Amino acid sequence: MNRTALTTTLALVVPALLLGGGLVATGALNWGQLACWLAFISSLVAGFSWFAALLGRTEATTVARAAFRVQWLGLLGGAACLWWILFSHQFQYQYVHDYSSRDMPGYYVYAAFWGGQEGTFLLWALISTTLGLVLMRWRHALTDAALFFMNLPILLLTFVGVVRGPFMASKQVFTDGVGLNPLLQDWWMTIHPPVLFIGFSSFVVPFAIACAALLKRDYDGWVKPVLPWAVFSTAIQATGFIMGGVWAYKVLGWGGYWGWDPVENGSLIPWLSNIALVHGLLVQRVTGSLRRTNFFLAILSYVLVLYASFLTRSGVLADFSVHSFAANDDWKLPLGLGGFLIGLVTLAATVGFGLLLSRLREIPRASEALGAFSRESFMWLGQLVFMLMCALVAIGMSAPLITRLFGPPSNVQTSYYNLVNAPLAIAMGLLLGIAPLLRWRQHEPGAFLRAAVPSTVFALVGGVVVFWAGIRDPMPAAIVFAMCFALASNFMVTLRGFKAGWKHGAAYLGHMGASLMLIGVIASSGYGLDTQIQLPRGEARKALGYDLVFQGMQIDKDGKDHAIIAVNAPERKFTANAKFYWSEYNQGYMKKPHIERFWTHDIYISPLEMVGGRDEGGTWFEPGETKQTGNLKLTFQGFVPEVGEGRMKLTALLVADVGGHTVPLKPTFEVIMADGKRTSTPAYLPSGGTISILSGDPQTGRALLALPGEERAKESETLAVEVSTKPFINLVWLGAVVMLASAFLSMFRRVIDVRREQAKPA
Amino acid sequence: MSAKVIAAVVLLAVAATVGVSSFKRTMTPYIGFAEARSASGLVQVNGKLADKDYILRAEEQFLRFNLKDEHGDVMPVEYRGVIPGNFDQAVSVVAIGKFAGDHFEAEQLLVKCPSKYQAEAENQAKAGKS
Repeated sequence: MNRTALTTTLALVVPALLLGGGLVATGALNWGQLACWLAFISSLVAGFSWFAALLGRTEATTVARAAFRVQWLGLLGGAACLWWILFSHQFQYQYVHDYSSRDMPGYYVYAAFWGGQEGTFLLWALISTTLGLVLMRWRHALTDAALFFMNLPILLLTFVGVVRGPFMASKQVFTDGVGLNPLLQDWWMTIHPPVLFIGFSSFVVPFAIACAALLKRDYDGWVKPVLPWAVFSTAIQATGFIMGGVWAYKVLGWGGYWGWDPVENGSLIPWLSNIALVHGLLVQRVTGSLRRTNFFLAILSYVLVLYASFLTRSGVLADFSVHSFAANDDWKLPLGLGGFLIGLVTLAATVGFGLLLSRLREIPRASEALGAFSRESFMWLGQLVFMLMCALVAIGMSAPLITRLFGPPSNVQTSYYNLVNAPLAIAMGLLLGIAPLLRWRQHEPGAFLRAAVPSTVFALVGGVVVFWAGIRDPMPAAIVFAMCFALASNFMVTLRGFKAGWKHGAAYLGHMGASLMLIGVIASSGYGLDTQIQLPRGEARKALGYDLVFQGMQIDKDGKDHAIIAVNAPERKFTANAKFYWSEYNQGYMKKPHIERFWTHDIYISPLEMVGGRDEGGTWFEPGETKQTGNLKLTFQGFVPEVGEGRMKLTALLVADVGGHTVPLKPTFEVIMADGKRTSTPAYLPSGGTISILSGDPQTGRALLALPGEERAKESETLAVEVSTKPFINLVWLGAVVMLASAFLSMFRRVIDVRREQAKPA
Repeated sequence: MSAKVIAAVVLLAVAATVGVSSFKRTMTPYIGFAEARSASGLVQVNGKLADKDYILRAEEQFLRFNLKDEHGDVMPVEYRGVIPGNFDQAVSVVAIGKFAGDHFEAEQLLVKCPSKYQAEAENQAKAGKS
């Protein structure tokens, strides 16, 4: 930052802070809102200044850049404020009340930042602006135009901060907060969302550079500088996927790492289109072709990011997903949150595709056609496969919206995604195996056939092995065959590349990772054994050849209940310890599977449900409510409270109807105030069995009753579990790690390329 | 036409065919009870618990309840599988399955419960095998 920039920055910040400080003093704003306003106004100033600069007033860039820095400071200040109010438990803020509580450990308080949508938008704006600051350091004729386009979506995000930031006052006085959804209370919550947000936000950079290049008619010069950014998006988004997969597998107990849920699909589609872009850029760099395709893909990737945000955040899919955020109608945005997100999509699509259309006819055609039998032709086909995957997944996740146009809104089952992607995965494997063996521009078919012999042999051996191992259905077997082919080809090319220097081998390493991962996915998701079984406490049961004994519940160090199951497996004996506790917040059981790991497979034991009562069990009755279990129909009329000296007694008025025979019942519940001792006296049913009061809620008059079945079950509690095996799951993790290593290596390689270019005297 | 264009056309054709057929095969329309009674194939219906007269046999993993849609139409639903623990607090139930003679046979239940603390927010629990 030179002196002029510093002066301009200060000239913007000082009056703003003075004015804002005055407003805070009068109570019209709080510090967080001030920071949001500062960011929004700076973003407006930056936008107008860059616009002026684009129209020829180049001196305006100084103001624009200064305003952009102030905007970053504002957002940083907003983030600092949010963490400050969270950590100091200021429950007069609605957001603090909704997503944190006093008893939460510090790292969850820290993660409560992105517990709700308002904080998420703030984080999104902050990350995008930070990436903008990095982009600002790039000395290139396109930089300022790119920053102008980058600022457009950020402007809208900072607008949300102003209209509906996380700094709204609570509607009432709270002394404690709700806390974070227990589903999200995991170590991964502190790291996984920010990584995904960085990935999501990063797609804006290729979009902005592409728009700038179109505007400035620089149809080739953008390729080299955009490559590190595009590869960065690939790498960081993949990191997010893998973290999400590990979280789903190890913590959420889905039994899998990927569920084709709208949220997952939403982050997958821009990533697929971005990978198509990366490969297209490589082709354009060498042969000068695919110019229009690359512009299209750079714009599309960001439009898909915004579209996915719309689908998952607006609540349009609320009836179709377990994962999507619920709709919030009280957003004070014009047209609501959904309308705002649609606005974002429309803005990016209109600007990006509009520019592309206006320049479409003047973008020069390729200086040379794609060679008929060449690396670029196969990469072009690979791009097509990625785009088809992207399109089919996008269509699947949009099914409720598409079908609504023709009739009742419909959803597709998750099997849709497996069905449509399977043939494409085969094509992908074959192309992955062929392309790296080919030279650019032209290759001799004869020479290729000789080069492909080792991979083909390896793939055939692999095919025979998996057939022998039990993968006999044609589709999965064909995918494994194609992936073995890709693995062997890329292994050879990686070795050759690393001998010539790491830069030449890094990308192929990623292909190897992807092939390994897909082989692992096929084996672990399609060929594991899976069964559900009920385990009465203390009794041995057999499942999948393992002996299981449910030994009971135990309170662990973390204060939560754990189910303890002794397992006698042929491989080894172990004690499964699966977290399983009742959550008041979700009114449901929170569960975490036990995973016993072996080199070749995992044994996955996931608690499903507690059959029969536990201390937290029983059934809640509203006053006047009737419920039926078995042949017993029970009506709870209400409580009769008696307050004596130092004690309180509640008598429940019940009417039981057993097979048409009606009897009144009066179980009681007494609390001695001095020591909190509780005595529950049950009432006896004519048919046998008892009904007792477990708890009562004096405010609402609700009663928690233990019904006969529940009383009995309490003595012999039974745990329902799902036992499954995940063969070769380690290949998934190994492939993922190799792929990530390759993506980050490739990114550094492209950064070095750009640096070297910049160091060259102009 | 060059070989790569033919390859691209083949890829497109395969993807389109598989896409359309899979879409049709796995589509589960979100429909009213009247259509659900006559529909063939998997559908989804949603509604509220009509009353508290449900049959829950946890040991057999069996649940039968009456679902009421927004028009007041009531349809019995049967479900076999792991019963969602928060079933009786449900404010809204989505059942995926098909109509079988006198009741709706659900393969999967999506149960939405009111959060104890947040009146507006809905928390969802997933049941069944997906």
